[in-house]
Amino acid sequence: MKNVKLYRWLLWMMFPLFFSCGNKGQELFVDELPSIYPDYVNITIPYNIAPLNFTLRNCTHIEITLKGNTDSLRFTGKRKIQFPEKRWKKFLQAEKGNNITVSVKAKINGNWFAYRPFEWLISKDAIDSHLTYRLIEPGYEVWDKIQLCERNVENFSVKVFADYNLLDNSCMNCHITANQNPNISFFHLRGEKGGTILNKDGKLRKINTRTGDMFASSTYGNLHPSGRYGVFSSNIVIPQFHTLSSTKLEVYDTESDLLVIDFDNNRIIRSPLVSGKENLETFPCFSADGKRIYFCTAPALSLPDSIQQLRYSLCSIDFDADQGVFGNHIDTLVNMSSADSKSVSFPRPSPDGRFMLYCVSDYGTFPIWHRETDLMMIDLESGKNVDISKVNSDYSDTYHSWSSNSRWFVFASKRDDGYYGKPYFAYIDEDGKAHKPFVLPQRDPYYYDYTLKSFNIPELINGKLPFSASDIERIYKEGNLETLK
Amino acid sequence: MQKKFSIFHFQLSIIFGLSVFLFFWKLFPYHLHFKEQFQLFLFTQDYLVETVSRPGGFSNYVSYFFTQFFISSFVGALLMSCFLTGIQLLIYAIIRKFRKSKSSVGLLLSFLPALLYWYFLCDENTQIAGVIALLLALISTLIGISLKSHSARRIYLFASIPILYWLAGGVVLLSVLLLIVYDLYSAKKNQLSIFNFQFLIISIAAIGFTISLPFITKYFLAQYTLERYWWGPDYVFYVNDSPFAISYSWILTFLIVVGVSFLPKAKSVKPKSAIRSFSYSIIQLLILLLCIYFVILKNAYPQNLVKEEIMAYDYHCRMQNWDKVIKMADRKSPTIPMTVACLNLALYKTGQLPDKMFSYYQNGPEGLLPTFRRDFMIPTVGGEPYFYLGFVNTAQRFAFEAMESIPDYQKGVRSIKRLAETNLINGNYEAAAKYLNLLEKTLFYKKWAKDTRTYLYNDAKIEAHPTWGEIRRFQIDEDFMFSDKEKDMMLGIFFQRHPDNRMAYEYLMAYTLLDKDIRNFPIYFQLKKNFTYSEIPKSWQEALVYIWGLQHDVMDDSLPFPVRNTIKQNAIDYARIYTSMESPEPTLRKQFPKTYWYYLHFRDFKQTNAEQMPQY
Repeated sequence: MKNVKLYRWLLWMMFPLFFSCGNKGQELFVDELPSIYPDYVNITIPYNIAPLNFTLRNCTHIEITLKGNTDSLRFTGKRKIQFPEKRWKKFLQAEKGNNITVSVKAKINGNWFAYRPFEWLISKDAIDSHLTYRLIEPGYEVWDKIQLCERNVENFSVKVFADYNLLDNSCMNCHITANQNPNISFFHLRGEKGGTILNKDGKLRKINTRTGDMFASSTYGNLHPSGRYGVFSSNIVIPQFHTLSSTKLEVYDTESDLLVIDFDNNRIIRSPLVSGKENLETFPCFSADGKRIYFCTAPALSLPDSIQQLRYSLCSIDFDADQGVFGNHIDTLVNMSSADSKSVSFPRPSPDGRFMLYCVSDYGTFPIWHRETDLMMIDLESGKNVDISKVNSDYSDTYHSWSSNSRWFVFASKRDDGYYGKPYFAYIDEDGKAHKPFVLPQRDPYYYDYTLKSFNIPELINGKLPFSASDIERIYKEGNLETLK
Repeated sequence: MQKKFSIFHFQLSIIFGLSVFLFFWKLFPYHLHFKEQFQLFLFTQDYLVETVSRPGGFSNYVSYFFTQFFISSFVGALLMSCFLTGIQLLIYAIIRKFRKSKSSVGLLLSFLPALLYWYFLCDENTQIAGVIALLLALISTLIGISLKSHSARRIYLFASIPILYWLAGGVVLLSVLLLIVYDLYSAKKNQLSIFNFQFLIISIAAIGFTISLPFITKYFLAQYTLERYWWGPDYVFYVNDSPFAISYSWILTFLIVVGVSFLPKAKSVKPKSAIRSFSYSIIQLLILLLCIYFVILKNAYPQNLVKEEIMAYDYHCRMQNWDKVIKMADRKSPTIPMTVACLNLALYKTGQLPDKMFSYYQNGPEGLLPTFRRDFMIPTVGGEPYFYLGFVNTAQRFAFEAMESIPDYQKGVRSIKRLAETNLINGNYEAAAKYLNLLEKTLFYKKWAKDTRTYLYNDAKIEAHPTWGEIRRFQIDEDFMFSDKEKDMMLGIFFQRHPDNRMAYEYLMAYTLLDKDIRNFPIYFQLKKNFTYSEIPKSWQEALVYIWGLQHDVMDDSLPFPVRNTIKQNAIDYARIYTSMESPEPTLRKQFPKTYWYYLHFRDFKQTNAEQMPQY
């Protein structure tokens, strides 16, 4: 009798639980795809990516089922789905190369809804394990908390490797590697005790990359695969502010030249073909084999008056790494000299040398604040354009970097709100076809709602960086500043 | 009698608390509002984790939590009063524990650290986090010394060190030292002395452990400098500056507690007569009030009064209390560009700009449309006229850059609100939604954000809004680059595109006058026909008469525009003095200080620049 009373009491206590779970048997089927955030609907993902946690806004409970060829998993959550990392990893490993079906049910305003399932294609091609980027508020001239970070894209761990707190709040430019190699990289660290920080196998050097005869510091740059050379543009950068509501900031160069720095001998290599006042040269980078330098160039105009006529073409010039000399002629890959053309910036060849990704804006040289900026790609073997319109959005899509297997690339997209750039990953399959991109997953899918940071120049690297924020603090405060000849 | 004494002790604390409350509520309310606008306390897990994940971060978190209540000067003053009185009461309680006596010895001295912190808090550079940290350290000390068992106290000492260090930062050292000294005091006679080996080992270990914590933290968390790990919370607004002065309050606390404890106890507990104890109480009260008078009212108050005035202009401008801005200026004319810009905006908003602008001190075009500077305050205030004029992108830039310049690297709720507005007006609804998301996670801006959310993607509703609608209506569809050096040109373009934009016109006229551009003034004056004025505004009449006077010998009825007789007569008198005296300035300053003529001839606005502003 006592037990019966107890059971009754327990049942009575559990009644609200049954009630609150709702009648899933009576769930309404909605014949549309769920508007999950981030948008992970029908995408291709690498098998080694961190869990794609997401939410369906306005829901109080969410339930999803992942159905693959080998297994089927069910997860539930309040307001959001956060996959357990171990199960996620195991599942993706098992489903490598397969399509998995994702079914979403959500409780909204007390009612359960079941949505049309969507798919995830689990690519056999891994993405580079780490991503570096600069976290910065997308401001105009003032910076606040600049950090250079390294994120492990296979999980959620983040390491800050250069922090404003330790560096007198000095400005830092983005971190660039040679062919995604974490052991050869550099970034510019401005400020009183700053310099260009060069990392070679974890050994850090601080170099003054501006010599007396240069009109400006080294700005945009890239490293030779050997790590011996760096190619830079030296730019006089002018920011100006638009008054039209749809535009914000314009940044242009009144002068810019290219130069190569031989880090082994601390000397500068120049060529009259890529310097001088007649043309503006910028955004240089080495080809994957280090034998060519790609860059953007435009005839110098009166600025800012003619800013809307400023259009950069994509060119290249040979570079002999043994002799340390430029070639003697310039090739034009994408000619933008006609009046109705657009402007190229930020060329990046794929590590296998097959493709070249670049940005295209209506005009100018600072694509990040040009809403219309899109990514474009050419096949370097055939010279033909490859359609990658699937990766572009209504807002700027810029600053891309390849994964070392040339199957993935990351880029900064402002597609959510027009201001705050986020890293998106896109897959290029064997046929050169681009797949729908997806944003870098976060532990809390609401993270992007509340962060006021932009992810600048995301760069994929195939391993961990061999230095820490303390190393950067040390070289900033105590390191000897090397000069160039 | 003992009970009466205790009540009196409490009464003295109440009087102290009341003084703090009245001071911040009535004399320094804008210091509180100032602090509130430069932080953004979010009720989100990320914000909590990010803030508390460093030593002293908890104190920062608590201080940000309370700072949001400074939106009300009444509540803010009440909180200030509670914090400072709390410090005093805790110190007094610790003294009594040390002395193991309920006598009032040390009562007056217990007010000194709180008084010192009050002095610090009159400077807006002092953060509340330091007060929270000190309170935490005192609470921890009180808990420790309340433990009866000797060994329990020692366990507590070592257990509290890392916890208190993480919660309150470097002030843990104060707590550790007090606990060690108490350990010495509480020992029975001859049982423990400073030379006792056990005592020495424990003391050295505790102090060593405390000192090692910043090093350990730095080893595992490289994000901050070692110095920041020593101090912990953000004691000062400019977080990269050394907060060393704050440690005086810790040193003073330690010296008072230890010093008073050394004082010999009275041998007899003979009760005092009522009159004697009453007189004793009154004397203590008078001493306390005298201290408050000399430390706060005679020193801290006048030292920070100018900044309080600037903050008042800023606050009323933010809250659109235009009449209050003008009332303040009537009492004392503002002199720095930032506050003059508030006044000129208030004059425009109340329809008095062209009539009355020279009734107040003017310091050139900067006092109308301030130029952007890398600062958190100047663009915050300076962005206001640009916003109302319709320079939405400029107002947005000012708001954004001001927020990024906040010295303690926090975000500013006022800037976020303005960014939501500018993006709403510009039709960037996704960005506006992002800022509204943030505001919906605050306590006091949630309602505004929820209401504003109804405007998203609703152009008709925005256009019907009294402020946003007008600003949107005056947007131009032609792009040009904003130039600080050509503000008049830009005002001209805005006015050209929307000839009914009265603010652009009156600001263009005011700018021309302030820039002493008398060549272009008559040209712009011709555009007046778009608007109705009962008569030509005073400053314009004065400028026109002056220009007329340059070309004509007589001031008669042939003037091609109607001019008040008084202005005509004043112009004749002014010209006579100006041309007949060798040094006419003193006379003209006395007789015609509120005229455009005096401004034109004697105000050298180029010398009045941002460098002369008080430093925040």
